[in-house]
Amino acid sequence: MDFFTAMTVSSSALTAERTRINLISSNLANANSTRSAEGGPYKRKDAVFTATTMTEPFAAALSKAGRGLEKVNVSSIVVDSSPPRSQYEPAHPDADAQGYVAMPNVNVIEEMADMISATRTYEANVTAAQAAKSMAMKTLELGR
Amino acid sequence: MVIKGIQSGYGISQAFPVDRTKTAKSTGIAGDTSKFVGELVNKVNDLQVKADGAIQKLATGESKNMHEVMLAVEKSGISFQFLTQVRNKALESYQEIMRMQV
Repeated sequence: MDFFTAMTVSSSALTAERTRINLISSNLANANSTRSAEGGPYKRKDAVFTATTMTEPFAAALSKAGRGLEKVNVSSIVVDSSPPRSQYEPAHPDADAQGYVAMPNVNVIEEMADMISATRTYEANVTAAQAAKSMAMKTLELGR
Repeated sequence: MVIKGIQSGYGISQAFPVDRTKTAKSTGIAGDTSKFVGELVNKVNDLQVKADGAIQKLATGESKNMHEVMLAVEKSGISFQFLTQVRNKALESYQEIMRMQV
């Protein structure tokens, strides 16, 4: 059913946005982490989204109706390679000879803006799913 | 005096012509309808089983996608509503026929 296709597409977007908000949380939580498993300060992470064609059997059968429908997938999580922020803090255990500490390349303000964007996109997709649902329910009202 | 039986000359049979091939076909349609309803019930059941499975997975912590569970439940709800509408329609037409004066 086509209403369900819309819901499936919205569902993929919700998953993607949730991945994004998880990464933003990780970035915010580690905004001051000077050590990481790879050595050096924490590096900012970001998700890369890819549009993927629907591969559901019914979409293939109804190729005309299903054509052009694309879900969103998190294809990879990339590490921001911009240089770390250096902060003068001679008392810090990770400070270098000059007294500078390499801090993560996370900008808290940018992360907050990204968070707003992720939240709003999530809401938009929930609204799309709700619209598909209410359209289906309205269609059922035809029989009353 | 000879009383003849009602002959199927120009009377009822002409007013309501009965086509043998058509009646044979109509039973076929009835069969299709019940098959269709059966398939519909199966599909709705599949969706409900899926929704149940999703709830179970969420409860046991196997899956952490709340939105997928919600959407699965919504899908099963909508399809069930559709099934009840179809059932209501079928019942309505049956009752309509039963109310018919003979």
